[in-house]
Amino acid sequence: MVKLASLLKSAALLVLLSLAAHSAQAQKIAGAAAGPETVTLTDKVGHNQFTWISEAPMENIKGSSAGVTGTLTIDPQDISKLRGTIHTQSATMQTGNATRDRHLLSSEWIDAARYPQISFTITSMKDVKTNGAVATGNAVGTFSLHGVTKAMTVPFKLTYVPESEKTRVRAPGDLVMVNADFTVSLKDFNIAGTEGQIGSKVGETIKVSAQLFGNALRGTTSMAQ
Amino acid sequence: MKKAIAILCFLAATGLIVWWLAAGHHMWTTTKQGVDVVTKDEIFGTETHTTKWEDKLTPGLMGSGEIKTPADFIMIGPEAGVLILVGGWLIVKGRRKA
Repeated sequence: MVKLASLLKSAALLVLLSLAAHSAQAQKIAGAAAGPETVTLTDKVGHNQFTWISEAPMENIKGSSAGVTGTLTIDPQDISKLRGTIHTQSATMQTGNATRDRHLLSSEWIDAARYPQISFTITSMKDVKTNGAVATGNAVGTFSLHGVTKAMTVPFKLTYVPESEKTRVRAPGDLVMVNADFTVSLKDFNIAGTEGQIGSKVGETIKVSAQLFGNALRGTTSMAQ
Repeated sequence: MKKAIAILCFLAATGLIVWWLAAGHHMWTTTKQGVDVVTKDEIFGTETHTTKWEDKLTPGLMGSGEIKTPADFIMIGPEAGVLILVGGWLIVKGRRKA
């Protein structure tokens, strides 16, 4: 009886140890070196851009913005420690109609002259899971638009490729790609727009997709134009 | 003659409305179209998406909002409306004369 109890205890301990080991592994990128790196967003690795869609009863508007810059600090052995800030230039927004673009950048809407940057600062990570070279989770941080900063959680997918001869053709260091989809409520950021347009011609919330690329040099992590 | 011009006006208005509907019945005329270019990225082993803005005229109901290029004259709503009014006026005038 005592032997059985002892066996059960050992089995439980083994299960706990294996769960702990799995949990520690869960936030690691396979094959990547340990230690923090600075990733700089750069178009040398891939085209950095934000695309967005406004869906309203009278009109669907597709737009994009470039001028993406930013730096991330990343430890491939512990993605939950990822931090950083990503910016895009408000003035690079376009919708395919020059007049509408001017309205969009005017003081009634984005007010690009007064608020030239839109930023997201990552302050913590949640629910990080890794599978080989891919990590998914939720980036928790603050989103700044139109002079208003709000807390926001953005689901992301990060693909990490350790440096090799193949990757060096694009940029030195390990390469990083981040995809994220989220929504922005215009009301939350005090964007009132032209009277009567939000809800009829412009959506109350805007669906945003980010596609970001950067190269990580050991001791540094960043994303640059 | 008036009747023939009126029919032409109605046909032109119908053509404009059909063009507008077929082009996606947008509110504003656009001169560029965001094309989603999907590329297989061999390094990341996934597809990447890039929006490229290509010159393409898409007629809108209300025009582009300003008149700077010939494309800015394309505003389906006012133009189809004027053609229908002219066609109707010619028909009414023709009937009164008869």
